[in-house]
Amino acid sequence: MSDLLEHIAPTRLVPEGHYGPEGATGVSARAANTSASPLAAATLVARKGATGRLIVACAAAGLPLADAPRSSGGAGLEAVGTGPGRWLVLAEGMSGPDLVARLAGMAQGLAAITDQSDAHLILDICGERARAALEKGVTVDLEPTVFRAGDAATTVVSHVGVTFWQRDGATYRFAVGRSFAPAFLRWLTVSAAEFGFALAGTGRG
Amino acid sequence: MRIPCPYCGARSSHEFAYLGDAAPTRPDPSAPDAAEAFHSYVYERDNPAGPMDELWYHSAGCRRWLKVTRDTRTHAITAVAFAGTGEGGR
Repeated sequence: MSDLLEHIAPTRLVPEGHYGPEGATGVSARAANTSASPLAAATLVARKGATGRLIVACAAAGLPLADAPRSSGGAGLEAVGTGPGRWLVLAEGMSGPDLVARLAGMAQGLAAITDQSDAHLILDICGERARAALEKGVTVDLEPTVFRAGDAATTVVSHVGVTFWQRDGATYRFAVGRSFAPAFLRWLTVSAAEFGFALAGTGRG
Repeated sequence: MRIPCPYCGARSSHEFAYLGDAAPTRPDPSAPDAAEAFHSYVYERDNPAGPMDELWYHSAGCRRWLKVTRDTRTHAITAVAFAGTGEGGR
């Protein structure tokens, strides 16, 4: 690893700031769940044999679910498939318990629901060189004709488990386990620095 | 080697944990020859050169057990399905 992070403790988040050549910003990243902008998260796991009925119940309540590695939105929620009959659901501006209560009302007893609001660092990564930077560690094919808006993947990046999905043409949203976030951010910073990397929302480290 | 997970798509084998032969099934512990049957179940394994059914766990992806048919000579994978029975292998 370069000396870019030499003076930043590996146990702390990489501080917000600009890394790499001045005047260029090919990659931008922003932590989406900060104390200023809370983002609730919960896992929704279908009971045995109930995946189909859960999808029907949630669709009727305004949240379409796909039993696939895809993201979908509705009723103010964002759901991402992480495994057969399993989703990670995010809600902006809502508390964790409120999200759990909301999902429990939708799921009608067909799913196990667990508050995960404190579990992840949610990171939005964009910029015209974002894909070039991510390709250094993401082994899933990110070529736009293969990995399109709404596609999701749960995989390993630099030995750190992540779930990520493409929100629109240019933004990738990553959910990284909170205690692994410093290591992930170190990998991202070193990978994106050559393009000019602007990091926001992680505080002063 | 890349393993085509039925949920996640083709992924590097380093996302998976390997268990081994998918053929052995747990013997009946109340059978009169249970000790012998369990010895065979725990220790005795074939070592085929050719296609073999194996169990792989997608630990870094969808966290499902897969039954993978792999040729041990070429690593060519000819079939993959969720292990177990029922919906999504459960």
